[in-house]
Amino acid sequence: MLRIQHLTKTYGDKKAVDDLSLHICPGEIYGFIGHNGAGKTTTLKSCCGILQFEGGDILVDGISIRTDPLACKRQMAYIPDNPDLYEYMTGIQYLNFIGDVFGVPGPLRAERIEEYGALFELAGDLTQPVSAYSHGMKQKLAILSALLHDPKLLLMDEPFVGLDPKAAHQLKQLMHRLCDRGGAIFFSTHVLEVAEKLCDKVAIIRGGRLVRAGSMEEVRGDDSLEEVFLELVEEKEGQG
Amino acid sequence: MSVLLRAMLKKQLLEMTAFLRRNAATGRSRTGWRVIGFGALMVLVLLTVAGSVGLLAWLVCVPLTQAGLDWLYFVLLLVPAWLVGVMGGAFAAYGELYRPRDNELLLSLPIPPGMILAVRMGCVWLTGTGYLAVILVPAYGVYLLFGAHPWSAALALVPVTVFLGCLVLAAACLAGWAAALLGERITRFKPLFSLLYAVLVLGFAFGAHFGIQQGMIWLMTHLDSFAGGLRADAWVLYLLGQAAVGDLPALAVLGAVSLAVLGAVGLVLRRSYLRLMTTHRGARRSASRVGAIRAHSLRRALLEREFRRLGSCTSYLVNGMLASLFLPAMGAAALWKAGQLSAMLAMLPAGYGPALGCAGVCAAASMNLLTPPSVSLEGKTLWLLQSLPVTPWQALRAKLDLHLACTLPPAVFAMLCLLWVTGGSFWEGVLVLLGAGLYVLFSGAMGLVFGLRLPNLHWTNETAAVKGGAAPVLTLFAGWGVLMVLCLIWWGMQSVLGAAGALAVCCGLLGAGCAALLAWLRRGGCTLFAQM
Repeated sequence: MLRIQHLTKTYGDKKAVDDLSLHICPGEIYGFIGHNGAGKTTTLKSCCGILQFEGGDILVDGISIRTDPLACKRQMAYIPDNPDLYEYMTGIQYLNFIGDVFGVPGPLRAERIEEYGALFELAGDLTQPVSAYSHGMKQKLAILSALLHDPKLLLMDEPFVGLDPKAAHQLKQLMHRLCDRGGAIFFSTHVLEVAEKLCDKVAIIRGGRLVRAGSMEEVRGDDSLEEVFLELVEEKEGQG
Repeated sequence: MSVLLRAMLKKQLLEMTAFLRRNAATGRSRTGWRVIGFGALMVLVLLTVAGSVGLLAWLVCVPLTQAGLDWLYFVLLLVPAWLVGVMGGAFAAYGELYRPRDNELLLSLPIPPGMILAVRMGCVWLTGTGYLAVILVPAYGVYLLFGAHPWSAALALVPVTVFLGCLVLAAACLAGWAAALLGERITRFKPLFSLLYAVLVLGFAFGAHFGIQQGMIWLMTHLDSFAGGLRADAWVLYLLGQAAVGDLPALAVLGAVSLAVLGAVGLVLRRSYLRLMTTHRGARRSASRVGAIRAHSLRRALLEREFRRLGSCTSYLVNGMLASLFLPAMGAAALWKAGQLSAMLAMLPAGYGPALGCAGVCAAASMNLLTPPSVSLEGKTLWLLQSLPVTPWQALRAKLDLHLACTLPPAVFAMLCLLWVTGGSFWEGVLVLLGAGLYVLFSGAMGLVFGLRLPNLHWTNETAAVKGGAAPVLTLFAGWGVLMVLCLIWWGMQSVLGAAGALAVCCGLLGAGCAALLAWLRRGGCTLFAQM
């Protein structure tokens, strides 16, 4: 579903992502873990076409994001960690805008807005301007908009930040549902307990380089993910 | 307590002068020559305004003091000074008293709310008095040179400034309060009201500019009757004028009245300020339900997005829609004054009328600066367009569509009205309409080019994105420059090719310019936008 091949992204002299290769298969929930500034957001933004990268390629369902970015974007949805949405729109106007961009037919759009709006308890606030939303409400709106066109690939940058426990639970259920239907999810998180319970596979990145990747059992072994992560980080610091 | 007061005053003064040290567009500090340059620019602007006031004051001072009407001289200058002070002070009061962002921080600290109010009001007084001084100081300067009682006036300068400043503060606090209350109730329509307010202020300024000369002529011919009438019917103004000249009893009354008014406003505010600081009504919650959901095309969705952004941002609306309001007024005025216009045009050679009309419409249309800041306004939401299946060209085209939708209809209307007045052949009519339309497209495309070349995506408030940076100014002046060149080409060509032939040449050149700009936007512009 998503193949990252030798991705390299630099900002000036600094390599934010260095020769990163990952493969996320359909049906997988793939966690992406790393310290602050490790390159997680850069990787996610490169995958969804926001950032141009210098080296490597990213393929979404076999289509290169370099050669046909629109085709790739039509199959995916991206939810950032800090959703800067259009504050001058109401929630429903924003959803309609996203629906128009993806060409979601009206009746189907209405059905999904009603379903997800009720699920995330946002239905009553959709006529309010986004500027009046709290951070958590904006996050929910971003999630709602991402699910509107039923994407095959969901890219999320720390999606649980700002969500109340019920919404977080609903999101996890939706993630499983999407993967059960053949979709894939690639998301970054700092909450390692959530990653342990949720993810089929995990990749750990440090200083822009992949340090470990594989199934949860392969990466974690007998230890907790936190212990593995800290050990890897200290190991790298020792080497540095 | 004095340490607390000093800390509060220091904080407030740092806030007031932040615009000198910090770039509003990027939020970063100005450094080195930029500080000096910005400071010099501010001084230049102040000197220009003061100089203009001084010139006006001189024109009025000499005849009035010769007629023994020194008090009237000061009334004619102090009343506008007070109005300017109130206008400037009201904005300061709105921002510093009723909508400051540090209310919660200050209230969490051991600072009495009364002190917070006093310090903030002090700064509003300083701002209002600053605006007042821009007119007061040159007015007094001229009087000291040409007036009959320079020494008493010189002694009265400081107390008059202080007392008038108190009256400015009182009015500004009330006006700011009204604006804050009104703002909460009309949140949805605030940009529209702001646009209407801006048009009213501009209209007033234009009217004042053209009316001042006639007003002064009338005044000089009706001096005695006007002064007598004012003294009888508006003795408050007579008192103000006398106080400004240095009459001690009048000065004492002015002082007492201004301090009493200020005290009353302060008392009312003090009682309710804590509540004002902690409750924010917010916009009324929309009770509407989600209506029927209809799908639209991508192009329409992107254009609607641009319209919604325009409607939500006051400064964007004011900066971007002036021509849309001015052009229909221009057309209507042309029809209203058709007789006079026709008489003036009859003095010019044939063919000049339609061309001049076209040039006027184009000059006015170039005041719609919608495309230059449109890229910068994407700001932190740029990621949305970049992550959606929207090509850069589709996004840029929507911005151009907005410009055309807002500027073309009023330009065509104004052109048709002017054609009605100027007359001309069929082909001249077609060509001037085509020319005006092509110029609108050209100016929009040029604005987009500048906006892409000189973007500012890291703004801290929308006004900085709209007004900051060079793109809007460059677009305006480059547009006028291109227009002047076209006018010169027309003038040179019309003797050889005739009026219509010269118009056709100009249309051809404009068309080529549009094609070149659009070609760049489709390639280079899209690349730039994608890489932002």
